[in-house]
Amino acid sequence: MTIRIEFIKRRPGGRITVRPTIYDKREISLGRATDCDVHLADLRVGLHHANLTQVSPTKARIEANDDHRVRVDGSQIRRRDITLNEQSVIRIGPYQLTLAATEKAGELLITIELVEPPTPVGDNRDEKTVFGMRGYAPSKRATAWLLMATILAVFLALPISLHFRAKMPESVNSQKNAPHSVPEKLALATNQHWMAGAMSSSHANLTNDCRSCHVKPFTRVMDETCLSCHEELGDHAHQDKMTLATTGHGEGDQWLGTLRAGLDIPEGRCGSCHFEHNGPEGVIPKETSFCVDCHTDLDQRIEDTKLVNVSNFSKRHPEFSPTLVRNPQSTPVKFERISLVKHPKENNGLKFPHDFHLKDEEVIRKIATLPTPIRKKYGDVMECANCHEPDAAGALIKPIEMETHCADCHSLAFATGETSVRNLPHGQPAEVRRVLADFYLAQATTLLLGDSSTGILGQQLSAEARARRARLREQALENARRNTEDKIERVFSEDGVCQKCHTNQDPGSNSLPEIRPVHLSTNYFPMAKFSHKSHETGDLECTTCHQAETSSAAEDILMPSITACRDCHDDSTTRPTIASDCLTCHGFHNDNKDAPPMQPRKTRAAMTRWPR
Amino acid sequence: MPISHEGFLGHKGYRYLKLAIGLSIFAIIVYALADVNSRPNGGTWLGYTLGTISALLIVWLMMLGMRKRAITAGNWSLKGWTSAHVYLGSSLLVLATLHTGFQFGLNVHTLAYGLMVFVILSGFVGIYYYATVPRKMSDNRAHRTQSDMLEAIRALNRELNEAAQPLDQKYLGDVKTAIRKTKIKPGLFTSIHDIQKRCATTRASKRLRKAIANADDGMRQPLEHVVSILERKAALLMRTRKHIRNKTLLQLWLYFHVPMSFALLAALMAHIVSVFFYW
Repeated sequence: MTIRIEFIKRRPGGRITVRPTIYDKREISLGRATDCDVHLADLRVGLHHANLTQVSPTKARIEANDDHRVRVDGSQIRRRDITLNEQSVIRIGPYQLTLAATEKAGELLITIELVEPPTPVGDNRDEKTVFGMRGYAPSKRATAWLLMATILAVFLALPISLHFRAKMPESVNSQKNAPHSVPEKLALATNQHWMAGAMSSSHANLTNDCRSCHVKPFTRVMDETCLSCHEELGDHAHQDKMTLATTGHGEGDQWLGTLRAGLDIPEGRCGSCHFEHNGPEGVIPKETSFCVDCHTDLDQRIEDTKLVNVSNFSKRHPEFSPTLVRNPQSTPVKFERISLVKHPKENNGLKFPHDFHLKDEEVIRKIATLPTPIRKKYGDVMECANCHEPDAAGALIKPIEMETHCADCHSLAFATGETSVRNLPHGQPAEVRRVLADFYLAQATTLLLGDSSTGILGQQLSAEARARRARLREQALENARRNTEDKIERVFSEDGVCQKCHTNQDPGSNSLPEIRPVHLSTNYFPMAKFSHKSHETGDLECTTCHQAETSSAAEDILMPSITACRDCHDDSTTRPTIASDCLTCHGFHNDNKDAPPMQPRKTRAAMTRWPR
Repeated sequence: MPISHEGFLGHKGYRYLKLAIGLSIFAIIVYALADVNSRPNGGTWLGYTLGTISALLIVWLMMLGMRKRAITAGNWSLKGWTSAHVYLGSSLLVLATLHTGFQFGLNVHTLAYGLMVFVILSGFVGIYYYATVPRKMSDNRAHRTQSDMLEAIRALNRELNEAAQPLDQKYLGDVKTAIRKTKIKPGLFTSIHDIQKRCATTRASKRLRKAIANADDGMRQPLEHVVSILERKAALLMRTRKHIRNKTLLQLWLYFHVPMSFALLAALMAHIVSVFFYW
């Protein structure tokens, strides 16, 4: 009984080497330990893994030691008898054993071959995997492409395609027309992330529709688009004056002009001054420099200018020049701007002492005699507001009207009937005569009512009676004429009702006394905007600025001097707490029709022609 | 004799640092003095100028990626180019910020700006690691190449396999795990110390060292042999992992810097087109 062990090794190229060993015994031990008969070097093999015994010439027994197992034909077993001609396959770790009988009687052939790679040793991953960034971060290229594609799609392709495709609300910002469909909503959202900044408050309603201003892609917002809403806007001044004033601010400006031209930033368009997307306050430029650049030395630019140079409000701004009526008789009435420095007087044709009305006891007594509902209106003492009412916007004061503001006290009633009061018409001296004449004639006619000489009754009267009646009629009419004349004389006399406020003038050929015409200023500063409402703050009263309490004549100008404004409006500090820039009072666009309408394109053309 | 080495930061006596500082200061002065209509804004003459310079600069900076792939000689060395990339790139923080006129919002314009700032800051991170890591790295590497390290680990595994042959079954589990389950590459967010502690090799060496005391006389010597190999392997793993970590530090910022700069390029395109589309 012998056991022949053959170790088979397959070389590359298909060559097979066989290493045989013969054991002259019936039982051999298999294992990793060096004292085993058959040494199977692999850590998956037990130290003394199994024993193999030749039971008979045709049969062998394999028996695993300890808790090891042997795999025979796919099943893990502890012990099995194997018939040699069954060609069973035995596996111990990575080794495969086959049993067979040899030609030599009683010899068992065990063929052993390593069929699996031995226990893997070492990290077989390649250098790149171990030391590279794989597993740490996705590839740079992939991330870059993904990010680029996403950003270009969301922030570029989508807004552009929606600009052309989506139907936007016709009238903007109304709930009814709010975007409904998905493309509209998307268009809105994507348009919004193109928006560089918040819209100005005056254009806030356009926020949802970029296309209302940005009409043509890659074209600046056109002046026509602005003017389609802002119709009939006046220019600042005549173009030739503007051109003279704006050019030649020194070499720096020439250089800047060249640079602007190079960068294709045209001047003289609406958008050259009005920048949108700069927040709620942004669209109207408040910088003093806008005005001062030209106005600081305007007399050098335009030699015949009547305007005084201005560079700031607190130090270099002329005293106010109210627009005054100097001669109310001229037609049309001429206004004249005279600086308050010259202490001008106004001649509006009226007699009116402010101090008297505000304080005098006579006025108080007069109020006391008024009927209760009217007295309630005035209180005990007169105040400015009794006559000076603010306009609807609260900005300026409504014009004074005799009927509304004076007539409560200065009544023009000349007769009181049982049911009505007869008033003289105001402002029409010629009409006064007619009214009085009619009135007294009517009185006389009432007396003579039915006294007709042509009727049946008249014909029956005696001639004497008729003559007496005619005399009486003559007398009644004569009385009426006389009463009329008397009344007129009284009304227009020095103590008459008219002369309380008016003065007479030479009637000339006219037999009736003439009243000097009156013309009151309604806006002393038409070139500045002023709002009483925004000055209703703190302990400011009318008399803080208007010296009415000490004014005894209508000729006094009660407009405040610039110094009164400067008490609060101080632009000498870098951050004035109260707005004191040019635009606080002035506007750029001249709406008084003194200047031609705003036509930026023409202005621009004129400017480019001008030699820089 | 000490080898003098001038890095890209100090290239040509900080030529590009000086250029970048000069450019930034000039831009700040012009910004402060410029007479622009209304408030500072990207749409004024200065805004356009700064924007154009910044956009061109961004495109040029991104061309470093192309430049470094083209081996050329001459004045425009890659080192000089990198130096200019770093300093002129940093000056963008000033130029582009002035271009914005400090107007920011939730829009594509600020997106481009934000991406730019992110890219520049990630570049600063990169510079920091470039300045600090290579020295640590070469100290740690001790003249070994990467393939040397891997080969040494493989060799130790083979040695371990050999040395473990006489070991009793009960010790084998640890050895096999140490050979098979040792993960060399550390996780991105775990510290090397933690990884080392949890590593199969370290654990095997510790357990087997403890086991030596109770082992049979015959087992003691092979066990000691195995443990010594395991300890050598653990030490090598430590170095290798540190090397990987260092290498990662040198590279990881680029995985933000590069893709984000392409994102920036896209946002910049969207910014420029949108601005002129709705002029």
